[in-house]
Amino acid sequence: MLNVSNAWKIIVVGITALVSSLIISCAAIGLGNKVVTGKHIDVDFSLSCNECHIDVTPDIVADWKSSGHGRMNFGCYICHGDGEVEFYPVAFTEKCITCHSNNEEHLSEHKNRGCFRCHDGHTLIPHE
Amino acid sequence: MAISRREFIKTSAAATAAASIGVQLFPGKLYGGAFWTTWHKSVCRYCGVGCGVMIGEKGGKITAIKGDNENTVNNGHLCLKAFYLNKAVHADTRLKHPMIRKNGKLVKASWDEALDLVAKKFNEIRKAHGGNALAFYGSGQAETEETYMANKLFKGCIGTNNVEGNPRLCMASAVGGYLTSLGADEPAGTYQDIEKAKLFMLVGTNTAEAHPIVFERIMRHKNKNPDVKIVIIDPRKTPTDQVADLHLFPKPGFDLAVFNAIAHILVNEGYADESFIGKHVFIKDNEENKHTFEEYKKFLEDYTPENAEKISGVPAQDIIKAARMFGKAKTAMSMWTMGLNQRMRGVWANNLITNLHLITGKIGVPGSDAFSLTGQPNACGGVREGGGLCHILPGHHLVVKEAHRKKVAKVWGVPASNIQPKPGKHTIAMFSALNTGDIKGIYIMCTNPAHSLPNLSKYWKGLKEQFVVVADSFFPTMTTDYADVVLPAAFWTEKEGIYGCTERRSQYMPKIIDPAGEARWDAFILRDLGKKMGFEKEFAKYETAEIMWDEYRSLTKGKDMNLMGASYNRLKEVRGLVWPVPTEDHPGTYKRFTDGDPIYDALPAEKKKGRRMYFYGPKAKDGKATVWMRPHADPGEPTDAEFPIALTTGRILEHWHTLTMTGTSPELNRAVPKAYVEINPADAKKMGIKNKDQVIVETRRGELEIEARVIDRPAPGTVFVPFHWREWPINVLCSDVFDPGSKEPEYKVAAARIRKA
Amino acid sequence: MPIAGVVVLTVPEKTNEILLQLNKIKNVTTYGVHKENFVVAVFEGETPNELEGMSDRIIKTIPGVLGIYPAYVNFEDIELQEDEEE
Ligand code: SF4
Repeated sequence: MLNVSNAWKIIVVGITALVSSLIISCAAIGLGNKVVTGKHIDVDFSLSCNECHIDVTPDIVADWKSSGHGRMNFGCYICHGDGEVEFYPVAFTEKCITCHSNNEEHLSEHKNRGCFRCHDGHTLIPHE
Repeated sequence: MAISRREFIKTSAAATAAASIGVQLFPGKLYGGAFWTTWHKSVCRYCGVGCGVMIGEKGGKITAIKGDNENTVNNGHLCLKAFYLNKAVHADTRLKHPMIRKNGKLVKASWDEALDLVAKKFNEIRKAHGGNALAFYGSGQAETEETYMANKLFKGCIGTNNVEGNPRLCMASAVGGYLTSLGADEPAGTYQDIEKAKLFMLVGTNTAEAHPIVFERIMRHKNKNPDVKIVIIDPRKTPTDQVADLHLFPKPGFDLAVFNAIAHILVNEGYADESFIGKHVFIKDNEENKHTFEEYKKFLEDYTPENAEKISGVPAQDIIKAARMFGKAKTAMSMWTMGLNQRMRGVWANNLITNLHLITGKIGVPGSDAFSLTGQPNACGGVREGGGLCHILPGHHLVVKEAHRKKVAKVWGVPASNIQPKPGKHTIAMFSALNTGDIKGIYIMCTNPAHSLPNLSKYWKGLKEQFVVVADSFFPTMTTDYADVVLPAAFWTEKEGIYGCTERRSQYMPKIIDPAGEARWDAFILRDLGKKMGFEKEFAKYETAEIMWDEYRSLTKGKDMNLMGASYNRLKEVRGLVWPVPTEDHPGTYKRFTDGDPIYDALPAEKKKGRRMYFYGPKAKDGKATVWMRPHADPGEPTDAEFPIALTTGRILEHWHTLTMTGTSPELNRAVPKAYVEINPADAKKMGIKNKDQVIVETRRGELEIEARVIDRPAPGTVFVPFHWREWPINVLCSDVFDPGSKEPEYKVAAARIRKA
Repeated sequence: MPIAGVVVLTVPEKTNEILLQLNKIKNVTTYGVHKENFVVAVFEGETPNELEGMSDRIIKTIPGVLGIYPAYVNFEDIELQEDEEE
């Protein structure tokens, strides 16, 4: 049984375990960290992210490449937006859940602090 | 009655709470509301893997997509493309009203105006030149119900078998392969075999990019079980190579010798399962003469690894290694896609892969299968099973068989004489006939042939000259450039229907929102066109998608692809059903032709005596599969001194076909904003080409200026260009020679040369 | 002002009695009994804490209430504060 007091913060993730219906509610507000939008510095937007970032942030690209995302070639844009129309300097949990929806419960176990509390943003390796 | 905002939020809150225990508080309300998201189970719109998705709808808009945890295909995971599908639904490029070309320009028209014009034109053509002057060209992305309506209108009412679809360009060789090798189309196993396989042989498939969730399952399985081995046979290194233990690089189009050489080793080193062969297999040559195992062995003598090395360029040692890995592995699963199918000898290539399973008995047991990966989400369901090609009828029936024509005509409520006994024109013949004027009117649905045909520019002439109707959800496309009438079609989430994926699984997709603008469901457009053409009675009953599905389903009764147990009601609840599924209480079939397959189980005991499989398909005799003695054959256009480089084309992870959908996502456009040609560093050095140089790729059919990507992916002597962008239409350069059996063109091999721009 | 949609899980025999009790509480609106022992209700309060207090009180004072599970909370005009002390 859910701890009721905690449930108010978890809001919805816990209860989905009870759900038998196909139409489930999702009040994803408050899941994980906040959404921060920003503006990418003006660059040649006809290029893909990687074409510049491999030079300007080689360590980050290398970290990414070593990760599950890198191996599957799921690029920068998947967390950070395309940079031109949408740009999220800080990745946020709601985006993770889209692909990793089977981890919603796991996330709730961790007191709803957002995926990046544990997982490094680029290597995706959990840290303490 | 106006309600206050506070009231509205309260109602929303209550409904959401109720929904969380599976109760619909305000039934009959279509949309979730402006403040919360309702989730609906559906299927991914893109590839043939058939992943389950949950679609989030809020205020009449599709706002989010996530993986469906309960779907066994993907267990909640999705690849990139699916992630951005909601953007395609509400894209600016959605076509919202019909258009008619007037004075060379497409202008807005009403539905009545547009359909009346099409009906009038089609009837005029039919009257003056006969039904065979009309044609339909559909899609492996259309729903089964949509293809079903088209089939009835064209084959059953208009009376022409000129009904084709883009699966001809993608899957036809696999169909030919399965029919000739196993006697029935579609694989014997399912994805469940992945987690049980000890060896994967991936041939002509860039699984990581083209079927990402299958790749993910393979990768997870291998990570957990390091003894699992992966052999790749492909002229190009791809992201799939991350998991490879061995990679064979044949010259594009020269791999048939390699497959025979692998068989040679298997047979000569004692890996053949002669008792399985004796009971389950005929051995035949190209003339269909039967041969003994000894004769087969003799035939293989020409294909020593050394000879195969001479033909294919693959080191003999690697061939031996691959063969031994295959032979030693307890279970083996081979997978292939366009690299085998889009070939002048695609059917043979398919046969030769299946041979390896048949001679070693690595089929019909968990973890072993010859498993073709389908490109499109409903190529199997709608077109192969639904009969959307020029020689077939719905439910695995053939136009050449009188009994089949009669059976289908009866269900359609048309005279059997309406259905012609001869196959119609296959895709290349169809577009050639537009060029010559033998076909004067064509209806194109849910696909973009003016961008995707091989030797593309050759076929623009006919599209320009003849009467072309295009039904699509997006505008403009290269094909709408040639359209005389454009009809706006409802898109995924705006219509219900069935998709059938690679593993014989049929899945239901709900209608969640109303179609954009005036768009209508393709099946209803065809139905209404039929009525306007004078087939009022024939199309009167199709009020719902379910009626169409049930009628189609009735044609599968007693067939190898029995779908009688897959009713809408059931499919709405479950995550798809894998046929044969003969009754409502049947769970579906994991393995065909063996224990647990209801058709096999129902066979009389004497037929099954002493064997573990019975190939009962329509093309098999005595329940036996066929090992084919297919000789090596070169591609249609081998490289030569003038055009020394092999050009091959394909898809990439981030984009789909002609970009009508993935092009609506800024993220995916950023991921890969433009086309490029991959050149091996060794070749680039020889030609003095540097990364990002503009180069000109040229074949006998045309040339294309494009950016060079110098990268260690294609083997030396081979270059690769993805085909997605209309600005870089590489298909103009592709060869349109086709397989004489499957009629599938050889996109994968063209002789080319490259120079700096 | 936060509004929460909740499901109240009850002991089956007491469900109807609980429904009556809930109806008496100010700022609680009920939406019927479902699946035998669930009551769907909406709580309104001034602050998130108030909602939480309300549910605590209900659990403690109304016999037969097994749990209260919020499925949806609307915090219009109120920033959701990340409480860092956890
Ligand atoms: S693998 Fe195919 S079906 Fe699955 S999410 Fe990706 S595109 Fe869709």
